[in-house]
Amino acid sequence: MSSKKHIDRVFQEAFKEFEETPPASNWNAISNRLHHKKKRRVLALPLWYKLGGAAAVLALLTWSVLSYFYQESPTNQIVDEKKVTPFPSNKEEIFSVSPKDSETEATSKEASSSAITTSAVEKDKFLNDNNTSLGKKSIISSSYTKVTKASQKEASNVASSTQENTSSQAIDTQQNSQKYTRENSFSVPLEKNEQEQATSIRIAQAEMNTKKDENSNTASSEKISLIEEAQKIAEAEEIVALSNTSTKRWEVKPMAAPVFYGGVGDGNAIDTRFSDNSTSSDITLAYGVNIGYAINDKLQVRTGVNQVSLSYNTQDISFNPSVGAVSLDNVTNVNAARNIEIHDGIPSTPNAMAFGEIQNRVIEPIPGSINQTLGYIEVPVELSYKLIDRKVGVNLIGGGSTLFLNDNAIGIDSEFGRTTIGEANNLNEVSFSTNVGLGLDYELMKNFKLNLEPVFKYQINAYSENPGNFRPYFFGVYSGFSFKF
Amino acid sequence: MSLKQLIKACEKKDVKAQEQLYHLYAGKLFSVCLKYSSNYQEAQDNLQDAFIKVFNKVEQFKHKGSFEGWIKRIAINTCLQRYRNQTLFELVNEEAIAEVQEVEIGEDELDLSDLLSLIQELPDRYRMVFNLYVLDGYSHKEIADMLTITVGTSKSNLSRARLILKENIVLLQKKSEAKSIS
Repeated sequence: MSSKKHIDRVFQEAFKEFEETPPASNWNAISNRLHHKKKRRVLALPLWYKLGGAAAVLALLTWSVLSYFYQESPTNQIVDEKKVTPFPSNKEEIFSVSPKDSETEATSKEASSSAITTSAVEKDKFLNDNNTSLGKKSIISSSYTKVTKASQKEASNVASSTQENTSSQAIDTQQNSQKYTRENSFSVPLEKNEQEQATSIRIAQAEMNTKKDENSNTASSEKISLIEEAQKIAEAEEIVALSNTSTKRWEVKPMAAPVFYGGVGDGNAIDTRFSDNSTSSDITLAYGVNIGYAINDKLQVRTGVNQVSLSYNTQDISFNPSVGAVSLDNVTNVNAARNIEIHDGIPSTPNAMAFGEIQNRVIEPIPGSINQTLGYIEVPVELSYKLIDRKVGVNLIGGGSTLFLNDNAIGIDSEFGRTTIGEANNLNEVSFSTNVGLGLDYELMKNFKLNLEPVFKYQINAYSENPGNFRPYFFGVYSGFSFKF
Repeated sequence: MSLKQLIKACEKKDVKAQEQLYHLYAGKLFSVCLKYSSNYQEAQDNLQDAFIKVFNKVEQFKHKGSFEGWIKRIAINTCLQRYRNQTLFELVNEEAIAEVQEVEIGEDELDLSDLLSLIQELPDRYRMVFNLYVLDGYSHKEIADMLTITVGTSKSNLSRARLILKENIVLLQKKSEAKSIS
């Protein structure tokens, strides 16, 4: 039973209800791919994780070393000394509570008046083994005869008034007291405050006896309540300060820098023959944009993109045209440069003499220098740590950069101009550097700063082979402005 | 769970929902892929690619028109993309073949798998045009846009596809006749 049918009909009828279940393995493949994609996104990060980790370690190391040397811990100390001096007529009981922010120099101004009274105390020397390591400022805190609160203006008012009340008595006491009978101290670390005023929290309290004065007990309790009040104010300030700073964490920083390129060691990257030649760097330009994110008040993570141009000269070479020219160790010559023979120094007898044919036409070697130019796209990952945060700020910068080679040329400079001879063949396309620097900034407006950052970048694997003993670095003084948002 | 809820769950990359959606439409999409691909293996590859696209773009479905239509189009496009870039070195003249292609065919003479392999054996472009026009109801204008060819080329490709199919059907018939005689 057959009938004539249009070919389309044959297929249309056959495929009308066509449905076929694919093998079960397909779902597994699909779900793997969906899942794998997510994984791959994560996998793209490890390099940056590693670099970030390296940066963090470096920054922490430098910070810890520095803080070790300067002994300026960013904590406030509360020193509680209790002194009971034997006195013919009565026993004195003195104690002072002084939480000190040892890092803040500005405090010295606010507390200068107290320092004057203290200097008198200093002469008596009975306090000198208390806080010697803290230097001048510690002496202020040891003024055991007064209550000083200088965390802010209000506080300092209270302080000065208290001070006036007590200073005269203080002198009396100091003359009378000759020994400590008891001394104890403790320190309480407090979260450091970002605001300039708030950074200087100083409360120095001393209770002194007033020679047979029966009111001494009540006076001391009054002062203790004053301390408590001052502490409350300080805490409230901290909270305000924290909430103020937490809003603007991002920073954009366009920068440009003169860059100096150099090498540690006496090798030469172009040819080992030149390892003892004198070298020089042209001052070149780096520019780019950096972005920073403040992890907390002190630490900032930064990254960005920079174009870095480097230029390096090897002096005291000479060159002449030669049929038997031997190319330099690590240079791939361009065609035009195949027949240029380059010598270390200026040879007395040109090499070309070896070829009898051209003997009569030997050309005197021309003195010159080899110039190597390099260009990198630099992606830094750095941590910066605030050492001083004022109108003028100081930061410590540590981290690493990934460098992508985007320019590579070698030429000869002579009195006749520049001849391109080729490019270095021992440069890695991707290399890394470790960066250490100091960041200075000047606050023009609230969210607008001028920056100056001398940064030293030591290249780790710039050359793939034959670097001789040449270990390159570059140093740039990056300047620009930054904007917080 | 309604289809709408299922789609919403897929938007949130819910793995369970994705699996459910897959099982709901795998059969339909695989049939599309089988028609548009040149063999079973490629059909599976295309099916996987199509579902990956569906899951990645499911939030773009605006709930206007049928979801089945939407994912079918994705499957078709996936297949087209695979073969679109393959240049066809045809040494055929592009003039349309006017004659009507009819075949004498007995009921149940050819089963579905035979017909499917006939389609799959067609040159890529012919297969695309034949599928799009005959089985999925696209116009020559639409096909021309989809394959970036002219309407004339589309028509000519269709005629040649029909011709090849007809010849092959006749060939198959002869083979089976020979079989039955022997």
